Amino acid sequence: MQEPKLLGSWLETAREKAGTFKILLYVVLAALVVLNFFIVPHEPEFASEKLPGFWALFALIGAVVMVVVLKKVVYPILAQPEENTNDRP
Amino acid sequence: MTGLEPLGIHFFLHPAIGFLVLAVVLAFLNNNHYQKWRWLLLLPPVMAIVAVVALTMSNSGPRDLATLSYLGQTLHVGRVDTLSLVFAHVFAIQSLIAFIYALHVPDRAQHMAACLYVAGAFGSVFAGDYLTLFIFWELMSIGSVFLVWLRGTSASTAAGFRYILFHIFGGLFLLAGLILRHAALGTFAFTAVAPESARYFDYLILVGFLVNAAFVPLHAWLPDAYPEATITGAVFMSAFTTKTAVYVLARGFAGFELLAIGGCVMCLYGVFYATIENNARRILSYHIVSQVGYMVCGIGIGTAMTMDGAVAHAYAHILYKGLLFMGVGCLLYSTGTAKLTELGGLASRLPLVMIGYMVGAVSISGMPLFNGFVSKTMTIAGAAESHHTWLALAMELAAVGTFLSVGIKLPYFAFWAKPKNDMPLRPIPWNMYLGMGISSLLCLFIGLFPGSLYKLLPFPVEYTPYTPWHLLQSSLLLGFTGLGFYLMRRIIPPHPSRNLDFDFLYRAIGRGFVKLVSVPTAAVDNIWGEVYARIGLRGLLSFGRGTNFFDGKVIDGVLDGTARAVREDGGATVARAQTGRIQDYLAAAVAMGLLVFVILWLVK
Repeated sequence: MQEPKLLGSWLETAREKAGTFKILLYVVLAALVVLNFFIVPHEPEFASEKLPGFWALFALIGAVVMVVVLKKVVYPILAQPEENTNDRP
Repeated sequence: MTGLEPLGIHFFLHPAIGFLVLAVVLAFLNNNHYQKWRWLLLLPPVMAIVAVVALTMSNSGPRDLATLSYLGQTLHVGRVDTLSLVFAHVFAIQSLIAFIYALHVPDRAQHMAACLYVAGAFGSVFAGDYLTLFIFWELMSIGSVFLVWLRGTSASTAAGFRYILFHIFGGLFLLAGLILRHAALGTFAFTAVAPESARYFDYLILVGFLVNAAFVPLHAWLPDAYPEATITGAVFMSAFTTKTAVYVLARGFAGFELLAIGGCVMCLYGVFYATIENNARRILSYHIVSQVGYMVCGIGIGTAMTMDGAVAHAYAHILYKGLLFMGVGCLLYSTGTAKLTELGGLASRLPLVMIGYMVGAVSISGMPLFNGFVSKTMTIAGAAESHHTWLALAMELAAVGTFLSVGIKLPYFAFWAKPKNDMPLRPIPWNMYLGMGISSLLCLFIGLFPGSLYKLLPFPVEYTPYTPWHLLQSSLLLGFTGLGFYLMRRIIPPHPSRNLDFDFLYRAIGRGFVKLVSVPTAAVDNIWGEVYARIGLRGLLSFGRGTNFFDGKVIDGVLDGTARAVREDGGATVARAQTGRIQDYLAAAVAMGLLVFVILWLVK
């Protein structure tokens, strides 16, 4: 089956405007944190959940720490050459 | 349906029957005519959907709709209640989608394997006793291993052997448990066990179930074998094995603390490995471990809300994980590789594949409007509500990691990352797009109308996913995970490697076992050779003179006759049957086993 060319070229154009999307992302993220001052959890499970931006920081720190620890510390220990996937030919 | 049930079991059409019949029919068809017979593949799934929907609509409590007498035992093959129906519901839908996706495959063997596999899954879900469960459980293992082997690469052959050995290992735990349980309690009935009254045989059965649930550290068969399966086989496998295990855990072992904590370990373990993985299908495999972790955790906590969350998540997961495997399968089909380091820059050339994949990706990440959101938040909210705050936090962290790997990393390095890719692309058949399209629509539909899923759930629970806070919290989690990825974009690119996991332990054990057997055997053989040379040889020589006479006159005459018969009558057939490949012998053994099973049943 043929993939639609028009959609493809539209995506190519979108890629060239990556900078605009980046600004859009920052705006949306800021708006979400602002909203967090007004929308709070119904029944907070622990005290810090009530702090505006708690889940934003949770995700940001979680993602950054996960990538750094896993790629820089764990990965070098676990990585094996790919050809070893077949123990014997 | 309701009005017909008093008449007997005759109106219960077991969804496995269609698949079993088709598997037999396929054995007599020729691959060269697949263009004609391939439409038959859609028949059993449609029959299964009709049967399950009819049973769901006639929802009149738990029923035992069909039994078989076999070897003096009664096999309960038709236990129907809300729990079995919700799994059968999504199994039926996914089997149709997966067979549509596989319509272009001109290999009846693959379709036969898939049919047996799906039949095993349906049989397990409707099994009312452990004996029936065990039979279908093993059928599932055998059907699925051929979906790995039939890829036909040396890696898939090796991975398939590890896969079947490990599943036999798990199956033996189940078998030992159910026999010891029968000896102690005098029944095979498959009922729930209370955590405080569980005995050693219950734990043996639990280990058997946990192998199929890919419970860490019994999980490594999954990320080892699934990436080596055929493109369409992996779509089947992602749906049935682990989710059947989730079903039996929900049925038998709700409320076990071990499962609550172990489920959380699975959530994080899968996510961690996926973060450093390069093979797209292996990333998705590790995320099966992770997503099944949510379900196992929910079952372990065991409140009505977390149980419903686990079941709802299994339902949603089958749809979006199938979709993800279809998307990556399209990439593999078209480009010939699933390694992220060799992909990139394909968004403008495969836009539909990208969109289909992204629907699955945002679903698994729990983005509002998609099905993962309405099921994942239910499990986490249930955990928090029952004051398992740490477990809830671990699951939120796993959600961050899920979006990081499946939602951003995989599609970024597969579809974007590099400038437009000029690699040659093989055109993707229409049916693969259709399978993805149906799955995408279902993921969106359930996300938009969560009531359609909630009304199937076994426990009555009030849960509203679309509240301002849930929406905001999910958006914050996903949005800032995205920011985290952007900040880490120099560190996260994947590298070609195979990462150590527990399967290396199995392999070491396997090699050790071979040594354990071969070294003493060789030593004994040496000693025996020495003894034989010194003592036995003289006596044998004189005995040999006697037998020489007998051999020359009698045996040769018989052998010559046999040799002539083989050469002239059946030599070619015998030679073809004896391929020397254990896979073929296993297939033959299964076929013969089924035949014996049928004959015994008919004779009875």
